[in-house]
Amino acid sequence: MANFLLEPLANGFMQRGLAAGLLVAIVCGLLGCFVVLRGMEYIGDAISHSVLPGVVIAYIAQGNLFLGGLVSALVTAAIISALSREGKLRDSTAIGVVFTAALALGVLLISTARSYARDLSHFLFGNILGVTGGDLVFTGLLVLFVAAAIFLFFKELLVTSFDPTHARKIGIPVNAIRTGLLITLALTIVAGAQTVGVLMVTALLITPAAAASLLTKRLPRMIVYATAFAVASVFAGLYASYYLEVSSGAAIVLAASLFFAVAWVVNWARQRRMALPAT
Amino acid sequence: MPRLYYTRHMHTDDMSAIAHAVCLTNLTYRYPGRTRAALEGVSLCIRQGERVALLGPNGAGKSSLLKIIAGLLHPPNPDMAQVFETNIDTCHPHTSFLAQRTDVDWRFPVTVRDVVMMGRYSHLGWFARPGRDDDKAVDAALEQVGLSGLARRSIGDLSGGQQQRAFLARSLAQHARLLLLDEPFAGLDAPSQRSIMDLIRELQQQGMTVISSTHDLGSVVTGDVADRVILLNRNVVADGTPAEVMQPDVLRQAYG
Repeated sequence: MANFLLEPLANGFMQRGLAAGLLVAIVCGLLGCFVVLRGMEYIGDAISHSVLPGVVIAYIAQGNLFLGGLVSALVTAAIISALSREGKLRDSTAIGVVFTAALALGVLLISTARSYARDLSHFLFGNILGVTGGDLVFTGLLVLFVAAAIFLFFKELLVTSFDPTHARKIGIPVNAIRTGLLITLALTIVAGAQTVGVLMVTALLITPAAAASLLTKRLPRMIVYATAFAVASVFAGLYASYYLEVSSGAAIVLAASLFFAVAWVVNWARQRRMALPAT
Repeated sequence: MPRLYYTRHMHTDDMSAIAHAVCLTNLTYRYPGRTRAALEGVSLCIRQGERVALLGPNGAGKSSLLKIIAGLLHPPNPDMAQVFETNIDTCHPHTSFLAQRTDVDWRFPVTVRDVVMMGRYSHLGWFARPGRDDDKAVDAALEQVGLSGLARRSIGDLSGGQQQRAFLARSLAQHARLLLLDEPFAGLDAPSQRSIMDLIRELQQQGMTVISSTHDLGSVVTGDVADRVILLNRNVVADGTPAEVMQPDVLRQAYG
């Protein structure tokens, strides 16, 4: 057993990959709860897809893919916010219009590249074994930032998520908090892109938090469970990808889906037991 | 360390010297991008301790008026709307607004106690954590609305009437002096409506000013909801006791 666990770690790239994956899992578990509770799943998905044009431009210009993706994600989030704040469009409509445009721009730019770019496929589907020292430092700082922000602003995050009207009423800057969350979301998505790919990073935000929400009705506990599920998914997915030689990103996401299924069954069994008459 | 409050209003519990809870002078409000005003030339004053019902058809501006008083919508001229005799420039810490039931996500993972504690946040401000005084205020509020035994339950496990009481307890914990209720009886069964009305009357007897919007004519006629009825249809159509306002010819002016 010990050998089974330790063997993959003999490689330096596997150690870095695992470390980066775990850091991403922690940040996704923490932040994912608020994404799910505030109904921001769709905008998260939109931001992750809109990373593409920035990455392609950075690739063509031979710049930093990471930075390109981040700028692209932030610009998209800002445009969506501006469009839906006017009140002329529903949020989901503004998101649909903007992210499909960004995605199309990305695809268009890719089609101008002469050869299909291997680095780009890493960004789309994740390449956890290509994690660099710089990626690790960035993700580590992000974990510290998100954990500190949730600790310091827990009250404000709680009340703006549960009852934004009351929050505004008592003077909390609801829009500033939403903007802060969007920026953090963009940073997290770009950080997670290396691990599971931009196409699947929102799964790591949403699925563990959704599983946690089925098991507890207290927010602090939900955050702990979601983080635990995300970490376990990265572990399980990485080992599966090593031994079965399958895509690490897909294996991680499917592991998270499996945890969700288990949580669903546990929740279903609990409700059934409660519904039964006491004998 | 000095506290960083969310608003720059004074947090004082002694407001007995102030006569009026609300004063509106020729208040007009138009939503951005709309041609028709939601409210036009509304003037009225509400003394502290009054129990008022805002009555009117859909689109009469009841919710808009409550939101302006709550500081959630801003009138074109700040002098048009005063709460506790100060202009509504930011949200006043002693007014409390209860949104319609449909605006709340009842699956949210919070306990009844968590919800009531949110009333204390306006007194805490940035970075501060609830202390012993806040716990006491929350316990007292839960006691008064009769939910002490359910404090640790999830808000979603409660009945509609109990949920409404939990939100009233939040206003109590906030030490609110002006309660703004948007359709507080909508979607509740008759016994729950009864118990909420009794609770509102009890709060009024303690000096709370209560303004609730409703489209339920029946409960207004009997005087269970309010001592004073303001009939609204973008402006004030009638203002008086339930007996004065609830006349067929008066109501026809608003409902057409």
